[in-house]
Amino acid sequence: MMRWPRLHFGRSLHVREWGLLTAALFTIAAVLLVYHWLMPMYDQWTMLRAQVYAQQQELTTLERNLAMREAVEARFVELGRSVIQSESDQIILSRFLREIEAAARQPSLTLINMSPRPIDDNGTSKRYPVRLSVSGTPQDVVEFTAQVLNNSTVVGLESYSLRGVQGGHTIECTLSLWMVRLVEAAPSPDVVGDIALSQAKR
Amino acid sequence: MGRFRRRRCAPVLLCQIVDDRLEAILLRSADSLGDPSVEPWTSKRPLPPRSQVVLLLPRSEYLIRVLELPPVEVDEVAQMLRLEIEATLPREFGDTEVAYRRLNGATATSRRYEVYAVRRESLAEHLKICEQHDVQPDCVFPTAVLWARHLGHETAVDVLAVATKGGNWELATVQGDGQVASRTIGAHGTDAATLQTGLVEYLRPLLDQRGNAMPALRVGWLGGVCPAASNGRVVFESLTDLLVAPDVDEASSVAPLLALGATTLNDMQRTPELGTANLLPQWLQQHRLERSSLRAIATIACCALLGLVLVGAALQVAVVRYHAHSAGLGGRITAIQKGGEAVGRQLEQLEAVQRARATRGDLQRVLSGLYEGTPEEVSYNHVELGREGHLRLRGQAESLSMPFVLPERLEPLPMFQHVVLRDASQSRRGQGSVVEFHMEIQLVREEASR
Repeated sequence: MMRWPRLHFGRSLHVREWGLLTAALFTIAAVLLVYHWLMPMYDQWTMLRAQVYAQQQELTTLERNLAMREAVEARFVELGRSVIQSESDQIILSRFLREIEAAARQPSLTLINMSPRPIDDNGTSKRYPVRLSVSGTPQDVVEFTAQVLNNSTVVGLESYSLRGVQGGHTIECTLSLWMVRLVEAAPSPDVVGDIALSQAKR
Repeated sequence: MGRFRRRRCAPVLLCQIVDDRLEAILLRSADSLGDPSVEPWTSKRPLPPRSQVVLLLPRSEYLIRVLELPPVEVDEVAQMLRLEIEATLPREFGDTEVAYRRLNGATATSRRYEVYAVRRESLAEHLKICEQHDVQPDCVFPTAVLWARHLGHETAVDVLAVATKGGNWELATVQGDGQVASRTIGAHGTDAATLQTGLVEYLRPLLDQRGNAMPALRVGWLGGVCPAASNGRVVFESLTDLLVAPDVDEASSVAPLLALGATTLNDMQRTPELGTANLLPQWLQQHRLERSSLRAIATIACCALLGLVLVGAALQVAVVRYHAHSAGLGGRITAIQKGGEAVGRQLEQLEAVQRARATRGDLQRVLSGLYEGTPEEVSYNHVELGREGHLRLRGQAESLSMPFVLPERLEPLPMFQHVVLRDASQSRRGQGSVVEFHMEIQLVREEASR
């Protein structure tokens, strides 16, 4: 007849059993410690370290900006209000194209073609790109370019291509220009509220 | 029975139990410069690292039997001797622990062993007393091992008389095949009459065996005062000089048995057969080993857990400090954020303006540079400036040699750098020929050059 093995509860454990029990308890305790205490804390520590690093960077940038405040404001005063965008994009672009056409109105200079490109807005400033081709004597082309680039607005020259026209002393110049307009920061809600209140009082 | 091997250069604590007290001496091995040293030891002193503990069991605690076995494997000798001796012992003797020492006189069919048997209860009592004194013996030697060693090798005496525990004396002699015959005489300290009676009873049969023609029986004396009397057939000799004696003042307090044991153990490397005379059971040694392993495992586990806790505590401290630091930084940022970001925005705008203005003079600079550096024999029919200030030129020259001069003439100009002539060739055109070349230059803008 088969006998079932008996379990002897209450007897003292053998040394080997104590060893196994110790190892098992240690493993359980270590796993619990690591998963429920150490790892979350390590993640928190890592996140905080990254956050502090980012904050330090931000603080450094802000402090450096503040240190340059007076110089920056002086440069802005020098720039004047003409570079600030105060009208709609269409009107500004129209005015810029009109200035180019006016500069090209010379007897020996021909504006062959001109086309505006999509406006690039990066939040703080806007770029109004225009691509155009003119032909004329080198002297006239240089004068035209200087007039367009050095007018009251801020205009940059992205690229150009000069090509000699065969059988004459004229050249054909293709220019890629862009005009810059600065976007003023939107007033904070507090300022908007103050303005609305003052208007209502009036 | 666990075989005992003495570790080289390891100190040995040699001890005996005397009326529930532990008497012990510490034997330090001889080094290359001097003799071994022996010093009394009390349980208040810590044992040196790697020490081995040897307990001497007095003759009154164990039995001696001489048994013969057929030649068997060394590992099986102890088990077979146990079976043999248990068959000869009465049931009342109880469980026994057995050790042995091989005797001389082996034949082709048999080996002779001197077997020592001790009651397990008696051994356990001795070990318990040792534990009470924080000592764990690695080996339990019967005193017969000492007699065999000394009477067989060290001395020329026929009988050894040694004072043992509680004022008892052990008398021992060794026969020709190495067999030890020993006896305990209870003299109760200073009872000289009892000692004398016991001595006479022990020596008489020996004298009878020797007969009158043989030289006098020499009795080696250890402990107490060596009797000076001699009747011509018995001579007493003091063996104190043979012992490894302590150098300290407590010399007189060291038991003779321990001093004799120290001498034996000091030479044990030369008598490895004594290792089988260890009465300490192997299971007990195994048990101790397991316990020490368990203790080591538990210690390591505790240290590891403690390490984890320390790491956690360090992380906790770091988190708290980072929290505080982050809060401080956040406050400082909030205080200057509005103004700083406004200036940052203005800076971005100024940069956009600067980028545009930096390109205003490009056409003029290129043309003036080309006018300045180009010889009259060279003309250009295509000038192209890319976004990054990369200038590509195509032109014609009257001679093929002229394009190769151009890089040297244009490179020194401040507005040009990396002037490279890509190709130049002369080809037929109409009735004559034309030289055409292709060149690439990097334009140095005004802002970048500052």
